[in-house]
Amino acid sequence: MSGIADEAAVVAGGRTRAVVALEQAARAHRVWVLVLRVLVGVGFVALWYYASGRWVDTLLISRPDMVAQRLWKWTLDGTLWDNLSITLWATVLGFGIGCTVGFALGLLFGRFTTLAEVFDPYITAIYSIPKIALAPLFIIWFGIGIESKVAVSAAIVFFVIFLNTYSGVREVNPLFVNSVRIMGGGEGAVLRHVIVPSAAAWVITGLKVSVPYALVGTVIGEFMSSNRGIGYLISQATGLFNTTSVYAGIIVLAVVGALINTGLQRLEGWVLRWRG
Amino acid sequence: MSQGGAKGISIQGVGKAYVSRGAERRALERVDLEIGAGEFVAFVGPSGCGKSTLMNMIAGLLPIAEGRIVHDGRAVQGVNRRVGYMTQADAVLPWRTVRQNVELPLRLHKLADPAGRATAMLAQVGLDGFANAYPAELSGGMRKRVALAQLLAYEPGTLLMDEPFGALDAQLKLVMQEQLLKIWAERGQTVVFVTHDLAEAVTLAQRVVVFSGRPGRVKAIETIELPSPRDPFRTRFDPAFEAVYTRLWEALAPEIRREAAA
Repeated sequence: MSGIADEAAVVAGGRTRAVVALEQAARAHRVWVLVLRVLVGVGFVALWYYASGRWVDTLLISRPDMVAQRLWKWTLDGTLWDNLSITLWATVLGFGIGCTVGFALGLLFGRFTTLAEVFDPYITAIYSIPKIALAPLFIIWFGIGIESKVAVSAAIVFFVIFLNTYSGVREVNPLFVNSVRIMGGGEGAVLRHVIVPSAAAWVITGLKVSVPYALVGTVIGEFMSSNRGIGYLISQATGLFNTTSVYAGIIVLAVVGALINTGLQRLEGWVLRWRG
Repeated sequence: MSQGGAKGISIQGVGKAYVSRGAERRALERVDLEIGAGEFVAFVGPSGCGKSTLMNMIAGLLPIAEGRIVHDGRAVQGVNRRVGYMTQADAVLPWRTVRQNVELPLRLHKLADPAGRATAMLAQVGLDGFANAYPAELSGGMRKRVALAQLLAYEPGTLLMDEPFGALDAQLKLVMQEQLLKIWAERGQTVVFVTHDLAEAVTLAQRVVVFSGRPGRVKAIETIELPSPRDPFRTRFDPAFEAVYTRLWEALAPEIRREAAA
């Protein structure tokens, strides 16, 4: 069976010089990209620093060192954690609730197509509403505490995850479903071994898209009415023309969003590791 | 635990019509066929003659509206879990490793020692070194072997194979045929094997059934009197092979021409 030996050579070859050379080239490329990235960041901050007070009024764009000092002060006096924790908590809760409900309903509708047909026009209609428009309503319903922020981000996340899960389930290859059935699998096995892993790619994409949305939902809720949170900090500072605090708040949100997305990318790499 | 010995299939007056765009099309017309326990039968016929439809009905994936199919003493109704099914398309789950794929049916059937059986099965198809690879990392031929290992691991008494090697090149096909014949000689399953390739049908099967073009019906049945065990690399040079191949080809050729003209 020479065919097998040939294939084995392709898949499981040793670490030849070509392999080492390729790895070195890839490493050099990564280092180079990292250096350029840092340069872009440093260049931007330098430009900001230089422009402030020279080209643009410092009142409008503040200054990097002032923003850094503000962040440091917030860190020391506990302002940062007090507000960040409440924003993060609302985001995580909203994200969790939206994901769970969206995923469950997406699976349900994907499996029972008649249900999907019946509800289709209503779902499309509700989907078209900018969910932010519901924020004032949620504040009436749930008050100015964390509950209304959780509701806003859950409403946003729900739709993204629901529609992605639904599409993912509809896209499942019937060949896999039939194959697992014949091998002795019941509905539960089909769901576990075929539907969920197959839809995972869609769901992960949905998660990645909806994390920033969850954050946006929470912060907008905080803008509208609240007494804590990063959104509250920013809106307070805006009212006082305190641009330094506004930038400090925005930077905190940017860092949080980037961290969450990095985490999700790791998760994606792990869940979809089978995609050669 | 094996699923028991090989079991026969009795196809009684089975027909099938598809309705599409307001018209009814007959795919299969009153097929009667007895397949003995442990027999290796091949179906050949022009494309669209309903041989895959018939396979799907034996597997219970398509409802049997006309006639009935009795497999293993029971009328087929709903998904037939007493068969193993292998198609031309890759049904190996891409998100499971080779080992996990082979173990899946073992776990679904709650058989003892799935890991040990999977290891043995992978060794048998020459994939011992790739147990932890994902299907996307394998060549097409290796994926076919994974499918074969998965099909055989839980020892179904009946194998339904719908052009399983159709996508492979001619050489690899011979390797797979050899492997299949070896396993069949050891375990004696009932095999129904659909193929376009008449040479493949004659090489493998004890009986070849020729289907007519649409709507498919049984046109000819030929018993292949070639000595066993057969060697796919050599059998085709046997004069007896030549003779039976020619007889079958004479039955098949006009059907192919008719189907191509239609």
